[in-house]
Amino acid sequence: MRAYRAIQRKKIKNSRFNTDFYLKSGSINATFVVVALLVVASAVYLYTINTSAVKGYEIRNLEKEIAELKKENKQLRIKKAELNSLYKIEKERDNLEMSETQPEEIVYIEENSPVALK
Amino acid sequence: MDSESGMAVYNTKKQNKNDFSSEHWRIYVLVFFIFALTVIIFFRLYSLQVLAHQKYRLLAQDQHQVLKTLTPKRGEVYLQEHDGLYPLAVNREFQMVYLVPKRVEDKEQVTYSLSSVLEMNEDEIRKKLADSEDVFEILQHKITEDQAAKIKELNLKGVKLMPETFRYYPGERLASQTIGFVGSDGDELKGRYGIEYYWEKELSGEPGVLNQERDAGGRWISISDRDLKPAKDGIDIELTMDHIVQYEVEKIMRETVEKHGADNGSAIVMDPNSGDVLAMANYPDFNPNNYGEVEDMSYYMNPVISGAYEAGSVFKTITMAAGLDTGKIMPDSTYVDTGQVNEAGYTIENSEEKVYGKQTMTQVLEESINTGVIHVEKLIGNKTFADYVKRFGFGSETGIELPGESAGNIKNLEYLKRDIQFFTASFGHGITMTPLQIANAYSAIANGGVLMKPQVIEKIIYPDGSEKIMDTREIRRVISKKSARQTGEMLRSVVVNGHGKRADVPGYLVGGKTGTAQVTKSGEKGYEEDITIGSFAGFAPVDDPKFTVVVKIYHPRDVEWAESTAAPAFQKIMKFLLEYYEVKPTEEVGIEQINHN
Repeated sequence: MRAYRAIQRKKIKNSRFNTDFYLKSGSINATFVVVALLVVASAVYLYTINTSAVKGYEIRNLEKEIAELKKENKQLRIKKAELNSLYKIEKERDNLEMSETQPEEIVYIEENSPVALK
Repeated sequence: MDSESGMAVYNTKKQNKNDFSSEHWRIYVLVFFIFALTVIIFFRLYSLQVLAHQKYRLLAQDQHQVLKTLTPKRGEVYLQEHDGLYPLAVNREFQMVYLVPKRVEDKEQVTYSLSSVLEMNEDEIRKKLADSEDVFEILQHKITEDQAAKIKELNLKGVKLMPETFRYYPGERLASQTIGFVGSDGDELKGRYGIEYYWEKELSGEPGVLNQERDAGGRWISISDRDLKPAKDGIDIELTMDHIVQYEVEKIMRETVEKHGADNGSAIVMDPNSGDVLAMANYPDFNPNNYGEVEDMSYYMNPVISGAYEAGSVFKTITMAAGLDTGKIMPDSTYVDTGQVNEAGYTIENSEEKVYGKQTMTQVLEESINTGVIHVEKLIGNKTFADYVKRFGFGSETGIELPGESAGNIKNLEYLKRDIQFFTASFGHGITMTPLQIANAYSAIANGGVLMKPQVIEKIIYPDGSEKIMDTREIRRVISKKSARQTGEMLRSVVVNGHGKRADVPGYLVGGKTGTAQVTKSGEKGYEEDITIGSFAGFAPVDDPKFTVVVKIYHPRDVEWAESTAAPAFQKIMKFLLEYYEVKPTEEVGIEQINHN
């Protein structure tokens, strides 16, 4: 009987201890969770802000690069048109002291006429 | 109280009284000054806040707000090319070099270096550097890329480069009278002449506005309210004209004008089936990049569309087509030429006073007999003749999308009882027309009798990428298909047997008609004795026309007749066109014949 009581007392004691521990650990966990969540949220927020800032910077750089390439492309297109200008070619021809072939200087030959192969 | 002490009390009282008066005087002065200051401050505030309210409000707005006009991109203009498009008018970025004299350290070094790079007078640069407190002096606009690179390399303190966008024409003088140019119109840059003028509103777009607050450093405050109306860019235009054909026609015109010492020359090439203009050339022309260097402003005009003139015998084709269409004549109908026609006291003769006797209508065209077409006009009747002239498009604008088009003048055909006016009109005198109108009328004959609207715009490209293709437009049927075919055959006969031999291209059926016209005296009746205009109008191949060409040479000095000026130029243009577009020859041609042409 004495042994039984001792066991019962121990059980009660353990049960009190468990409840206290539960209460204590419960409040610690809630604070911990809130703080942890805040930390995680802050970290995520900082990461997002940072990533978005970095991406924004990259996008701006790329946009700038696109604009530069477009500008360069346009300048090259104009340069090509300038070089293709027949008036420019005509001027270069004169600079190189080349002369245009006159129609009377062109001799047409028959497609089926004999030609020297060597 | 002894007397000494009594005296002391009296002195103290007197002193106190004096002190009190002095204090009051000071207070009054102080009060006066405070009052005066208050009044001055009040009036100053009134002046600043009420009287000058508007001025300071604008100043503050200027400091705190960015009010920026957003400039739209001007649309570009393109010519057709075999493998795509050729940019005729574009927007190009150039560098402008400017000085900040305040920051220039060694003025002599800057002067020396820049004068050699920019090929400028040293004194001119010194003058701009003279004021050491000056912060902005433009030195030169539109410097070349090489010059800009050299200036960058020099890295001179106080010498800066700034990009500027200008209208640029990479083809230089190519199609200059068609494109026009962008030049200053008062304070603004606007399209002047040609496409640039006609399509100014559409090409220039609509400016936008940006209104935003900025901080003390001049930076935009991104979170503040922003009022943005984006700029609308201008449209891009594709012309029907071809780069290579245009250049070749311009070259031929230049050579022809120079060869004959003529005042000027014009030519137009059209596709008779669609009305598309493939080339439009005039010489002398100008370089739109340096339009200010032109001495004669008339070079800006486009005589192909604005230069109405009495075309002479090229008009006989129209009279003959009307005669065939009314059924009054056939190509082999005959009449007897006596060498002259007398009417209302006037005597009209054939050129060189020739008498031809019995002639067919085809021969009338071959020999370009004035009395022959008068005979046809008489058969048709004045009213019907006038109707045909109008139906062929003479006397009214064609509606081509270019500025300065002339309708010509056919007022002489309004008075039906004045036969003499109709007789002269039958061979192209007394009425005026533009090369474009002649080309379009000949195109109607080439196109089976149907008159088309001449087109110079192929396509419009809007800023959002959508496109509007300009459809070909049929104006009206002028003559029957049969009459058109018969007229074409007669024109072929002119080239084979008549005055148009020098317009022929071996292997192809080329048809056309010469015209050597006199020029009316300015301000008085009659014609100039030694000034003529040589014209040639025709199309090829006659059995399946692909091109209509009109050439006009004004006042050639070395030869009189069009068969020696306009006809050879026509032949060169037509030969080039047939070869360039790889049109299959109608007839087989011997090698010897090719080599002799």
